[in-house]
Amino acid sequence: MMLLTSLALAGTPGEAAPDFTLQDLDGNSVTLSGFEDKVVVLEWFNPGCPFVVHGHEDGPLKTLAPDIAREDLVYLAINSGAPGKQGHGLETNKAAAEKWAMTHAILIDESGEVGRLYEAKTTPQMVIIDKGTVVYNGAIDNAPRGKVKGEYRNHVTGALDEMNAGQPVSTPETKPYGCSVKYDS
Amino acid sequence: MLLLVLACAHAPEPRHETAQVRVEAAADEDWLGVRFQLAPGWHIYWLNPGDSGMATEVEAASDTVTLGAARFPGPERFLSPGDITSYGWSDEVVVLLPIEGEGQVAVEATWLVCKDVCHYQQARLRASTKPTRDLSEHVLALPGSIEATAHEDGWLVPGVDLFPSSELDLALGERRIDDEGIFFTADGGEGLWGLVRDADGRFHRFDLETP
Repeated sequence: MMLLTSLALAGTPGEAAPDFTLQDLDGNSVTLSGFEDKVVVLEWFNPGCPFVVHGHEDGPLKTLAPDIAREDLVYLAINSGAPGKQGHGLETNKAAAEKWAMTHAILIDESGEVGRLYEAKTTPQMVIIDKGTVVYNGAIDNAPRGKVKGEYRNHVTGALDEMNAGQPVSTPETKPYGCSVKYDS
Repeated sequence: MLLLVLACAHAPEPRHETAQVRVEAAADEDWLGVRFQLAPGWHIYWLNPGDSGMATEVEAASDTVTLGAARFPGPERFLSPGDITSYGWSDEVVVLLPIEGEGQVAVEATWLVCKDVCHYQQARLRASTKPTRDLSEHVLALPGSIEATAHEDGWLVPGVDLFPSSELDLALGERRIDDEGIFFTADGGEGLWGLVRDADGRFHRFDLETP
């Protein structure tokens, strides 16, 4: 029970980012704590989810990673889908990476452990970590499948702009939208 | 052999069907109804979809009919692995919009349908508040399509009423109306057309053509 409580708080903005080690599509291990002096952007990923497809083909994920790329920023996609579920499998993810010209790592979290640590509920769900502390957890923007109500806001670039200006992130948490993360149980 | 040609393949239909969802629009004097029927195991989402999913949207527009806001029934709750709670409907749901006036209504519906995977889908539908006997108006205004079955000795058209054009009337031979629709024999020829009225009172134009 104590474990669950601490886990539930782990992905919350203001809390220390829980460490993890996952493998990318080529089998290389990637450890979060290796980037403790950097900004890390996590994108929960499922290449079969219509929201992810839209995001990478016509929407906000299409050029996000290259747009925000800089030396002290690491962009990682994480696929927490279980074996047999939609979007699982090295070949499926490699094909998506090639199709959508993703040059950043896609990490495989088929046990769902890291997804649960960060309370990832949807794809795409975005987390920003600043030097080891979670500063944003939520939706990519306020326009599911391009349908915006009111003024458009990209929560990720908005938060990064504020961080660059030395300001606190004004909206550290939003409700993520998209497909459910395809956990096993 | 005679072929029945769809009069206007691109016109919005009263129905839209995918592998997961069948959507229909119909109207009476007071309500426009949009019915979603889900294949077993699939669901679509309520206005508040919960932790995942996307709200089902139904938008309607008309030149002559005044439309009120869409009314959605209360949802069911769906639980997915990972403590993911969402709200929506399985099996069947009818969204109602209050209407005033007569005429045609164009409906656009978008939804996310999910089981173990999700599909984003949309449909453009149309509904007519009332059938009218003014055929000329409906030929122009309701270029729908019907499916007919060719038999060795004639045509079976699903519908409850048949309004042949004068040309087709001349070409019609035997005509019989029963539960299945209208059966008729025709010698064929090019440029022949007629109208059928379906059980919902909507008119559909059909053409007969010799290939």
